[in-house]
Amino acid sequence: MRGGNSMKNSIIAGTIAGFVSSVVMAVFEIGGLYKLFSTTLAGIPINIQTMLLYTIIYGVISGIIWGVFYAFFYDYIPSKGVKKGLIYGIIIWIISPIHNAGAGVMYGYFSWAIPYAIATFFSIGIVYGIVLGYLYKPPK
Amino acid sequence: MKISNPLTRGFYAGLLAGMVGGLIYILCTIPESILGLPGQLAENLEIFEFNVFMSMLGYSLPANGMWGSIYGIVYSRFYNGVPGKGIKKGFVWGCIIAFISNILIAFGNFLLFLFTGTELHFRLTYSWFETGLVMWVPYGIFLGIFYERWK
Repeated sequence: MRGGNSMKNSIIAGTIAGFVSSVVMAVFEIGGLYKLFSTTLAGIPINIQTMLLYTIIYGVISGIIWGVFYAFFYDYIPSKGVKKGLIYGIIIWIISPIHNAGAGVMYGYFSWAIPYAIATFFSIGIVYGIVLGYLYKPPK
Repeated sequence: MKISNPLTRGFYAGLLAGMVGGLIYILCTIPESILGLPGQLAENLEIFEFNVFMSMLGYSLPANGMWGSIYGIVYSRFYNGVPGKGIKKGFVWGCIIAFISNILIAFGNFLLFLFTGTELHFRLTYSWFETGLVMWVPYGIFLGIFYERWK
């Protein structure tokens, strides 16, 4: 594990990357990706304002936590710079949202799980990873 | 048995540890169902039924084996960065997986419960938190055991 500066850098980069990725996620929600399959979230009606508020808060908090783990495992993630962040984004996408969507499929929530997997691939796998990889600079 | 390739070792150790973790979790749903706690078995039925238990077991073993093998491969890649030594390394990895893949999702569902007040999100909060602790922490311990044993 790197020092205190690394932690500070990872929290800042993670916060920004988490916010940007949650905005992308919100665009998918406003754009009606979920409505292609269902008008409710996992069978529960929820208004768009509440959904957006939840998306931003949860996105930023998750972004910080994932950012700290990024700094922790920085040396063990293949590649360099933005590409390193992109690889990490894909790993996080598999560990967290895909795991979540898989459990949703198990319980028959296909109409939620499929758009969730698609939206999180772009927002977390791609955007979060790229922004984190671009912003996070390990201390020398 | 020895497996020299770390990725292959992580895959097989994770596969087996995932199945063991899944089995531990399913066994825990029996007392949970009897006590009436809002776990996954209790979501499906009000009283314990053997057929439902077996169908959950039929899903849980291959599904958790699959997830376990994926996390096992990532573990082998991050092995030197995980704190601790030997089995303790596996335990720490299990805690990290439980935190990122389950407890964080439980927190998300708790936020939704606070915003909407729907019972489903409360049940999901409980279920995700529980699976993190009961399934993925033991998974990490067994991953550590198998991974070190097959070195």
